Amino acid sequence: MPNPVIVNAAVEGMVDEAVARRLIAHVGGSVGSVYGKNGKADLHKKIKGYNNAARHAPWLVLVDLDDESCAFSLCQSWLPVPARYLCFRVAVRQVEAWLMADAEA
Amino acid sequence: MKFHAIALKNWKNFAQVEVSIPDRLFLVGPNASGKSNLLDAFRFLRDLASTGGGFQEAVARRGGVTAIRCLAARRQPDIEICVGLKDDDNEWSYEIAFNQDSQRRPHLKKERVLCGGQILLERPNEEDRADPARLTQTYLEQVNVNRSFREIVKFFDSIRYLHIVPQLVREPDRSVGRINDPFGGDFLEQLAKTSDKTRKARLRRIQEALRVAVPQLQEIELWRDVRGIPHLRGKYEHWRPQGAWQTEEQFSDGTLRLMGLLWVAMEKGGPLLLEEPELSLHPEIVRMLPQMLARAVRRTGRQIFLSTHSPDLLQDEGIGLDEVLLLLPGKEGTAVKTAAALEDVCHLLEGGLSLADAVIPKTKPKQATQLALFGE
Repeated sequence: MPNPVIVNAAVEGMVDEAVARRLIAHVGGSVGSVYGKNGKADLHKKIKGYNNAARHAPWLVLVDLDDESCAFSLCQSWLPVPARYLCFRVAVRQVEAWLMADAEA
Repeated sequence: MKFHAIALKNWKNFAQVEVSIPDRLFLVGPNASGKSNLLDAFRFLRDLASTGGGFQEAVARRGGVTAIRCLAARRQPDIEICVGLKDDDNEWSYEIAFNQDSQRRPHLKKERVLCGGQILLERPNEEDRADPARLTQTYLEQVNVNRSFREIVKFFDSIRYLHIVPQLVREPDRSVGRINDPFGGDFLEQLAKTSDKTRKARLRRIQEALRVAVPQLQEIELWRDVRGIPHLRGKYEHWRPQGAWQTEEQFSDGTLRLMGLLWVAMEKGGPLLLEEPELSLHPEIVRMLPQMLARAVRRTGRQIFLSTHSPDLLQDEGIGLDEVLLLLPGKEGTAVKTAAALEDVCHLLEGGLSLADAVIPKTKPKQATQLALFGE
């Protein structure tokens, strides 16, 4: 079996970390380190750093949409030019909503 | 003289490790990854060379050869420590390898000293082969044979480890008779032994520095009680015009630890090993520690190696990537890497993250969140 791809992640908090770990495992990746976990504002501040690292290695950044109107515009305003290996995903409205909507779990 | 490299084999957490050593070293890693054990390798060298120490004593203090040997090691390989040293004129190296005999007594397998590429000592030598009992002692501890490398002996002896436990400073009875007690048991005694002039000058500087951290503290001095036992006492400002004197028994943990740190930062001497200097201190003070220590390094010329869990401490922008060692535990022992060797850390820093933000997540235990469920 080939070695799984190591994916680093940056998230808002502990719940988001659990979801990110699950997502990465689901696609057959192996979780590297999980960064951030200091809220949305902190993630916004550091997104450029993660983006820079994602030029060389795969990264997953997971952020809540919260009160903003549109996921696309959030992506645009946070990071107009995402790096090659960056997977920037917005949870509508929050990651918690995904969990609650998961009836099987 | 300074350390410029260390290599360990089968030493506690480390199956095999080789790192170069700058003037400051920050060790980060999860709990039980071997931060203190890496520092302990330096303390071991100190124990070899110090009076009242020696090879047998140094091994016994650590619970014997089997307690020192890395758990990841197969069979019973030798434990090895090799250090590279540098002074103004020469490069030195000291190597020691040891194991135990059938009666579990520690004995040397190798002892080697090099200076400028020349071998000054190579053991086991003829005499050792003729009398194997000689291998229970190193040449470091023998004045009559270590003349050509006595500088190394002095240097190892000058290594100082500090991990002040405020409770011990307050209750020195708990560590009666210990000299150079790293946990602060004889801290006041040492203060008292320093010459009057030096002590006053240092206390004055500590007082100035403390004014920032503990603004109520107006004055500190060494004071002897009726039995002649030295105490630190400080004058605290309050609503009474005279203020009130309090001794170390009433000082806060943070005040005592900071005093200890500031005191050793002013001492001249060999490498200083600090264990989590951030304990009991406010994050804003912790943030200033690297700068404070950098200044101390410049002034006294001593190397400082410290272990830390504090993101605030690593927030300092003056910390170089080669000064941070990451300890990453694995099944085959702990691996040690400088932050500079980790590509993703470099990329994160280029992207504007601080060293703390880039490094600390790497040291997080994988299942830390499970701890919240403790007792369920």
